[in-house]
Amino acid sequence: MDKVLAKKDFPRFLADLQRDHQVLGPTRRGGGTSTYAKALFAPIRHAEDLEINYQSSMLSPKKLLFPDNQPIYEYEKKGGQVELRPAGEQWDRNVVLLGVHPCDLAAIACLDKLFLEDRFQEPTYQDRRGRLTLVGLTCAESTPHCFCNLMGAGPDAEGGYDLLLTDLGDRYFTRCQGAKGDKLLAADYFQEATGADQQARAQALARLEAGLPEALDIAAVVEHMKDRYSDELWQEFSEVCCACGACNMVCPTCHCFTILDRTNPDRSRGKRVLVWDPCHFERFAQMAGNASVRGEKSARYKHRLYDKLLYDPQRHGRLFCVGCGRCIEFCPAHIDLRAVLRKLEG
Amino acid sequence: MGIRHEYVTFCHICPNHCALKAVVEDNKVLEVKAGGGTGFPVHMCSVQKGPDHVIGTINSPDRLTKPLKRKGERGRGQWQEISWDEALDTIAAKLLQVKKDFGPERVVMILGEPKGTEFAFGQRFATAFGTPNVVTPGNYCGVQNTESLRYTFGSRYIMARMDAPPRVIIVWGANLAHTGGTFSNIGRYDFNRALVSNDCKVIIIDPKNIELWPEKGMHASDADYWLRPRPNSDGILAMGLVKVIVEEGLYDPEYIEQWTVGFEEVQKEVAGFTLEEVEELTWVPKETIQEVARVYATEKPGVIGSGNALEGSTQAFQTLRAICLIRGITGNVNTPDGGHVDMIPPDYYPPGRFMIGDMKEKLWEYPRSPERTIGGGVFQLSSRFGYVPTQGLVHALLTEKPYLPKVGLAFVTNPLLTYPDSLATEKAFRKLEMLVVSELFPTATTNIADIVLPAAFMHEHDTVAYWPAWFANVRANRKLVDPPGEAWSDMRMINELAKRVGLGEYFWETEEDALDYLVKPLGMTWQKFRDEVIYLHGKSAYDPDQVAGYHTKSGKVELSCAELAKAGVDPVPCFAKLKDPLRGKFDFSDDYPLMMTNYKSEIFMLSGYRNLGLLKDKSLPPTVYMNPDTARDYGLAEGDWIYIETYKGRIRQQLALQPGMHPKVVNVEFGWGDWGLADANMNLLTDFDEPWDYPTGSVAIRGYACKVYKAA
Repeated sequence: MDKVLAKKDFPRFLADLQRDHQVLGPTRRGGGTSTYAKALFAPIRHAEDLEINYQSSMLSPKKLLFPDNQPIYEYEKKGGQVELRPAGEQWDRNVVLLGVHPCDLAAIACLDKLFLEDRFQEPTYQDRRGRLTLVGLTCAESTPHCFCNLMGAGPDAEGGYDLLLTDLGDRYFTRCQGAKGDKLLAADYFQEATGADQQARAQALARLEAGLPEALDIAAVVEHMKDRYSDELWQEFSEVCCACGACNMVCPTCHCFTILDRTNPDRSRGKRVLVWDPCHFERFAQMAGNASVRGEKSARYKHRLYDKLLYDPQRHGRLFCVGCGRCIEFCPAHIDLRAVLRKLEG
Repeated sequence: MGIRHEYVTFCHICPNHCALKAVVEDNKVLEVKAGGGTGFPVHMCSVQKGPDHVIGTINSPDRLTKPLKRKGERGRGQWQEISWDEALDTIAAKLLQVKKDFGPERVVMILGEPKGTEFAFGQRFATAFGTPNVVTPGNYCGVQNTESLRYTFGSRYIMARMDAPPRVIIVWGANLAHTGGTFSNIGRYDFNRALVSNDCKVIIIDPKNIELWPEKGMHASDADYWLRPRPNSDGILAMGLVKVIVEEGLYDPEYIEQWTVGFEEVQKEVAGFTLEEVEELTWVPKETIQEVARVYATEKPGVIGSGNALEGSTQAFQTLRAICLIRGITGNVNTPDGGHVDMIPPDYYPPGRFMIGDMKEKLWEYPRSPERTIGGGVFQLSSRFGYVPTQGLVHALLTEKPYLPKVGLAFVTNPLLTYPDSLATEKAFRKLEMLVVSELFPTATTNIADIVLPAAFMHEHDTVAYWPAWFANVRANRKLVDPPGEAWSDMRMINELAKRVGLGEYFWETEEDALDYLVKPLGMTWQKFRDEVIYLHGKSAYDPDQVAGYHTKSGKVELSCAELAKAGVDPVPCFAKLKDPLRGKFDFSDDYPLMMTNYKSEIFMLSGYRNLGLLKDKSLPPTVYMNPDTARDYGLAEGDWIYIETYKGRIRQQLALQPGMHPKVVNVEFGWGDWGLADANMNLLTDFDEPWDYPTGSVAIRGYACKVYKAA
């Protein structure tokens, strides 16, 4: 169902959402504790808190659904006994995540595959996902780092949302999917979309598409990867890599983690936490006897891309890169994944 | 189209000095990025402020491009463009007149954080000219750390030993994710690795819930321990940790016996107070202090990295000494299993000798003695380190004691924003008969200058970069492009000025000659160093088989330091005196129920570069942090513009809420004040006047009781 929401009615829409949900959206709050003013998904109290025209965020919605440093349980030794207490942080309210760009919607669909739909169900993720309403927003403009079109994840979102907004100047074109979306769209401030609205939406997305990178045959890329495991290009592209793990952390689909025990000095109490762990660190692939199967940084660089483009699609049926561009934007060495893909395509 | 070059250079915006690669064509910098693959250190902050500030500064339309002479009243912003000859002749004539009529000490060299070699040139000029009055911000930047290391362990070059991963890292008043600390060769990536390791405990001591790993959204509250002490109570906290280690016997008696002096004095000092007192004064629970002490003492190697935050208090020196006691008692320095190791710097011309030491005859003629130096009789140690504390100059100008300085020559510094008590500083500086300021951009300080000299940026001339000298590395920062207009490097200005006051024999014909002189001990020319070597790091004195030893007078770790006692400084940090920064004019009152501290921006360097679009776009406006509950109690909400007021004045910044912060702390941002934000200047809240940290001349730049209220 397609409707439009006049921008003057947006505060009413927001207030309605806030009645039954905690609303999280892009804000200009820096890192929350730093003055680095990159957009951050944080609680929205007033419409003016929203940085709705944000270009991109450093931390993707992954941080909210699959938190880093997630407590799993706490323990305490009491006499001869060990007491275990679950320590997972549950959401106590339903949550609306507002203003999620199509690339990040696609990334949530990847995480859904991984943590809900395929072999495993991750309880915290499952709980949060059940409480979540996703209000997507197509981008007003692309950034120099974007390549969602190459990965089939944008600029329009084909699914993975409850509502999807598109800015048409004085109004939002609003598309919905599923029962949650239907319910929201029933409010009287949503008007039926006209043919002109449909056309305006198509034009807005076409304009956006024109600013995105030239098309690329991703199927060919993946096919070529199968033969180029030992290619010199991996060495070439990873030469300047700092092995800092920034790309892993900002990636909306990277999901590898390790388990740490945070204990007090005599280890009589502590908590076990799940911590995001970057595969760019040598220790990531360290095994008993101190052996590492990916000691060279080129091997680690290569592995991450094979994982996203070849192994994950085999396991979960979809590409695990959504073209959000964060790995390019936040790479201190400015390594451009798009250049790697082009090289593989040809 | 010209030839495109890719050059390696180094960022100078924080002490990590990451290698950068710059693509240059036709005298234009096309791109700057991290120097991955160069083989030189790259830590790279997530903000990537290095590339932005290089490109931003080089291309900025705000640059000063011609020497300017004041027209009309001071501070009116009316200028006349003059030639370099006129500028230098005018300055030289005034210097010579003051020297003749009043003595050379009436000329004050005013320096800021060194970038390249300009700081060393300024110091050298002062020595040659005969003034002992070189004012630097060393009084609250680095000196307490390096000198406490030197008095305790016999070396300023004590760094983290990163060949073996530490098992505990304490980050104390430093922000490793965004800048290199006063001491840190804990690279950002080494630190990140520790954050995902079961083998390393991470302890953060900071009132702010600092970002540990921005790309992960990881904060101090995610660390093993996050201690939030009352601002300026860090020395007390350190002594609390020492007490636990000493009284629980968490040390190696054999090491203490063989390799330390003064353990009994320390035992005696820590017996004089209780952990309950420490808890009350620092706001850190006793149990946490005990746990942290046990972790640090038993998990080795253990590293403590401290930052500037500990250095701006009236007990700054003894605070850092107390931290050295923790390192020393646990055998963490220069031992096979310790976290810290002495570095031996590369053998280039040592800055100290360049500044002072190789002009012996000038020093005999014009000694840098306490009698001749501003504050010489007041500050027990600072003149030994070659500086006058910043507020010492302000005090001397306002009180005219020991005498009234006449001329100020300022390089790489903006005292009107960065010295405590901006109003007093401005009043004082206006008393100078001549103020000369060399700058990249107009600032609050150039605004009241008599002559403004347009400076070339660090990347617009060749220079040796060595700061912080105690990091034991030396770098070639090569010229990438020409400076704008008629801008000159500070080195060239000082070199040419020296010739005009008859001191040419102590300086050089050209800048390259000077750079050759600096790198000569390395056995090469500047050109070779710049083009082929580029960077040299010190060597580690680590010995896996034995204690590497200490270069103190006793040859041991001086827990109690006789040399300090001889200088009139407490040989062991005195617990009772460590309470001073919490008392008197700093303490809470009915009018001022909250406690102001401050932080440096993650985006800019000190007060600088705040006009550059690339950086400005990445920064929030001036931001003050408070606990959400406290804000609610005062009727304040996130995003409100609020006033923060101390007994000295008030400033206006935008409120951001930070859960987990201590409810009494108000954390304001340092460095704003230029570019239309005069009312956001943190130093309107601080006081230049006594009490001071008498050994090193530090002054309280945080820890003032305050109140907050909504700005209209």
